[in-house]
Amino acid sequence: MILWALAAVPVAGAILCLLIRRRTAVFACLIAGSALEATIAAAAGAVVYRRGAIDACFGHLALDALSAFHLCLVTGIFLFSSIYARDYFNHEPAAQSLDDRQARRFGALWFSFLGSMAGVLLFSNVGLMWVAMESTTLASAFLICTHSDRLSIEAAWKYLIICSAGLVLGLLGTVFIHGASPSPGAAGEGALRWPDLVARAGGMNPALVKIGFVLMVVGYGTKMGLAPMHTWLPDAHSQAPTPVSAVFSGVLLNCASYCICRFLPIVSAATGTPEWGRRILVGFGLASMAVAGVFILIQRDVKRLLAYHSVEHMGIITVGLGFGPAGCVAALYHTLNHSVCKSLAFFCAGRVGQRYGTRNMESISGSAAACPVWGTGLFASLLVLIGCAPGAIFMSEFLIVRAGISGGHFAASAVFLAAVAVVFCGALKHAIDMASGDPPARLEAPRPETSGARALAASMTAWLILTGVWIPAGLSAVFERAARLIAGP
Amino acid sequence: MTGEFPAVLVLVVITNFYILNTGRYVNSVRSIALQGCLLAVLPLPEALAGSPQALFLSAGTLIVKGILMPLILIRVIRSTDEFRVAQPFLGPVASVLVGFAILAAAFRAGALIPAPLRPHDGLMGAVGLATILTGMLIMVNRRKAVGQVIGFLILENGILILSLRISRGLPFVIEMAVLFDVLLAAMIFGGFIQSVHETFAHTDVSRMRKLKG
Repeated sequence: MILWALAAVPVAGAILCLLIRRRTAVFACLIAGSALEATIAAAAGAVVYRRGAIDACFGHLALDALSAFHLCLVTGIFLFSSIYARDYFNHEPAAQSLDDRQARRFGALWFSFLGSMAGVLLFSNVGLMWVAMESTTLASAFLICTHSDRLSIEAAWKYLIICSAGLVLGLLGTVFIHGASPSPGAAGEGALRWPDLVARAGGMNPALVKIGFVLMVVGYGTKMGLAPMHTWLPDAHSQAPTPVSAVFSGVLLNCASYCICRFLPIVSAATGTPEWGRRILVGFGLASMAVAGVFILIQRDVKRLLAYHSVEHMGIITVGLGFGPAGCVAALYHTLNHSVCKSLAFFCAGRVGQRYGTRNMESISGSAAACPVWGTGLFASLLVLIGCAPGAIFMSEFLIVRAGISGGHFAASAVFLAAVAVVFCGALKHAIDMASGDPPARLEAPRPETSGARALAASMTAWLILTGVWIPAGLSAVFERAARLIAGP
Repeated sequence: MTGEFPAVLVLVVITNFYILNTGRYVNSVRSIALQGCLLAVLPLPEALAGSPQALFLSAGTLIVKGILMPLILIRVIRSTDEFRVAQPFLGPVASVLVGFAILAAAFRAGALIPAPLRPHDGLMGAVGLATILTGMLIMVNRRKAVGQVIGFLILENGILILSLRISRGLPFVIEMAVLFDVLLAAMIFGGFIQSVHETFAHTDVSRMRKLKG
């Protein structure tokens, strides 16, 4: 019942947005709808936490510890982004502000995007999970070019074609995993339900599972932004309106990593050893971190800088998943930290960019003085993002390295630390340059921030520092239960 | 679901080569439509054996891949006025030669797929792989947006054929969902190409190179 409600709210919201006339009402509807979805998700998460996995619709819809964690994160970030979106579009220059028709379209696509991501997490059938993942691409392509100018259309086209072509390999991977079962036809409609796949994984043909898993990592990895398939990501993140960038970076990439997580236990059971699949993940993760490090050093555009940080952090999460059970716990913790921190960073960068009329970091100086809330927030979130102690991301990166070293992955841990150090130095310079100095004289007097915006920035920053020094016992229990589904007991 | 149609598979290969060679997008779309109809034939024996699901799948494939998708693409081509395959990176003759190399490689690789074989399974695996690779070749070898979409659809057809070889097809619900998804993708791609055309006054995506680094 609760799962049906989770699926129904975005659909209803999308339809409602198309029926509403006025722009202000559309944004109110966005906030109300995503608040409702987040509340239901939290309730569903509480049920899963107390009683274990729940399912509906003959087991096609299901929610377990792993998907419930991701679902709460997705809906939470969506709620924040909806609140932010109203503020952001109110401050857009007149030429770019949305009219009623564009706002309706934005609202409908926003809810379809939310619905398709909820679908990825709710479908226990890995075939339907793929379909939902492909729909996230289709729903979000037009969100990137909300303002249809040349650059955003170019970015959206790249996104659409690269992610579709990449994801189709994920479908091929699903086909291989399906075919690896001893008698795929005999299992009937439930053949691709995740719990059944895991139960049958021991008897699967290891060669087919291996081919399938590589295709899967390349396919879903494209959507996740792993190098070398990440090329769409900086373009899409930098050209999309900032609330959309925040959702892309904060949760869309997580959904793709979730899909890869689902296949890890199948691969370990079919190949008889967990190491094979983990090695592939560590390789892709380190490659992403290295590529991102190089591009972060030479970046000029603040949103592209954040986009390459996404590539880096997706790499970190992937390495963590490859470091065994302790690494998985740390990777999930990192997923949460990265989502909160990156969406905060995008929120701040978007508003600072509006204030300065540019996203070029060389033209942004003294942002902490020129716009106190967002300038300071940008500085703080960048510091947390690159792993300053005692931020939450420092903690989770530390835990990942510890898992790597105690698991005997010395070389991988060394490369990991080197990449993190390069990113730290490169991005620290950008962060200090933007925050310090004198603001340019041409800026007009700032408009006062709404109390909602202040509360949003302050609470997210506080959360990032708080969870760096103290993880609530309930939260670490959630990570451990979810990690057990990925890496086994 | 079945492997009783070597003739159908051979025709799929012929349409692949025709699309590699043709200089007109409308002809490519007609071959895609033919390919869609051929794919609709594959589940038929099972449908005749009394499986209503296979009948639905066949009808769905015919409607989506044989009729609706080609109609959408033809409309896009007409409205953007992009009829000719302009300056592909590989010319038609070279493309066909690469196509033959792909086919040979696919026969070698298809034989390596470890799974129980039934009559014509070897052919089916090879044709599936060859179609996937041909789709990829077309995606990178076309400058216009519509050409890349055609490549994507061929790639998807190849996966469908290969899935018949590897696992007797995916479960019915998923096949239908994928079919619906591909239709949705074709509609979104079509709408998108039109906004590319409105903004850039051309649809040559190889000239869209403003975003770098």
